[in-house]
Amino acid sequence: MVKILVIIINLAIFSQASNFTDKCLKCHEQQNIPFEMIYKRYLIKYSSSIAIKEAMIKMCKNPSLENSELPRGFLRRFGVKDTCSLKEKDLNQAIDELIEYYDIKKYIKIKYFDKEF
Amino acid sequence: MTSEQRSLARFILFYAVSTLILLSTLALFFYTNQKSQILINEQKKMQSYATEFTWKLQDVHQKPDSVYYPQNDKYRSAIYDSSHKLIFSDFTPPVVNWSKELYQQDAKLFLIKKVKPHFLGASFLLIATKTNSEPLKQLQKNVLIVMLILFTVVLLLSYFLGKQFIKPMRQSIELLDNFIKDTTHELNTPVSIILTNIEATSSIIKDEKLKKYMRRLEIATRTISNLYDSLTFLKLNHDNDKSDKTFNLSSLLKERLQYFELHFQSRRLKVNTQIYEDVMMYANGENIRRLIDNLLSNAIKYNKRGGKISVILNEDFLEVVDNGIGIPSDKLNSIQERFVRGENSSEGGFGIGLHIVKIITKNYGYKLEIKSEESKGTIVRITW
Repeated sequence: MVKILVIIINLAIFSQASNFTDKCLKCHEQQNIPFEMIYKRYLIKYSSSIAIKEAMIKMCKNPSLENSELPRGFLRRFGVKDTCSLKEKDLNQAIDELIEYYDIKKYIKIKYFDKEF
Repeated sequence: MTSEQRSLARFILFYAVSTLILLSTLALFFYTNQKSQILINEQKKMQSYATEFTWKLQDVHQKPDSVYYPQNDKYRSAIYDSSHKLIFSDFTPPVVNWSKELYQQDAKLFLIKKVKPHFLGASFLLIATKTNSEPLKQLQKNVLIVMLILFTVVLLLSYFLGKQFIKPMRQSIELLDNFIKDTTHELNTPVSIILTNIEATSSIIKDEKLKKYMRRLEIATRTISNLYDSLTFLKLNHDNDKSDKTFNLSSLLKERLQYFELHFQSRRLKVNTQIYEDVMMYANGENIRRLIDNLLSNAIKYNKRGGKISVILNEDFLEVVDNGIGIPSDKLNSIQERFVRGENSSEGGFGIGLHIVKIITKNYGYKLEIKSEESKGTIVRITW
């Protein structure tokens, strides 16, 4: 019975584990680098989630001034980030979670939706 | 309907139809132009709103917390990413036609605007509004009213123009009518005197040769008399319905055949008759006599020497058949008109015989059928 309980708790903990929140967001918040701002810079340039994901993977794998979307002044002060240590699969998952996390549908409100139009 | 009225009606019809085509083309051009102008105006308004919307989108994009999506009472909007995937909207957008910047669908107008920078990830903005049909309806109404007014003016104008154009024709007809009226008036007395004297002289002349000359004179004078009769009928009109009465048509026909006997003899015509006895008819006897005279006169006039004439009368119809020169097929339809004659104009006459027949049959509601073949003969049947 105890064994089953441990397995269930482990599964629950494991299933809630997030590459993005644990391995990206946490660190960004500690360093006071707002992730939402970074995401919006990608969003304004790349528009679609596929294009955003491609650009982010490119930046994570090969960080450089050219691949970064952060302001030049910021990069001069803090430098370009180190190469991401996440595995390919985890990186993909983390970026998918990031896009989902900041999905604009979650925070845009609407006064009325016209079903009849 | 007289030929004058027919010409006028034809002129008005052609004038009206051609003007209607011209007016319709102009109206269509004007309507299309105005319609596209209305669309352009609406497009401008939509573009202006799209620009305003993009500014608002920029505000929303830059705000960190939850904000309201830009909305407007008149317009609905949707934003799409670069792969045409819907990001957000305040209505359920239909399948978008990405190939057009502005298009109409289901009484709605859609405008697509590219957005750059892609605020909120929007690459395309779709603005939709319901088509306002009121200005178009007003435009249609105005165009129709103007067209109706113009068309009425054109109709009136064509009527007056037509009247002016046929004025010379009417004057010619009046001149001819007056001439006939004067001539017939002057002819009446001398023809009557000649006929009376011929009849009186014929009874006392014993010499056969002289008698022959007198018969020729009588035929010629009767021809003039018939012509006078026909012309008088045409000029003094033929409203004799009040004097309709029942009479014996068989007897009248026989009498008229007798009257034309000299003509038959002079042209050596063989006359076959199939006349039912005592066919009674209710009509004006004078008119029917005139009708018979004209049919027989034509059968004689347009027959060849030694030709045949058949006269058939029964309870249903009267038929006069000759094997004369016939009527050309192109003139068959117009032969009943006044002053229209067959091909051979050397036979005399004014072309009024069948016209009189037509008037009389029309007055009584009889059916007039003319079958003819050139050089073979003519069949005229009157059915009542």
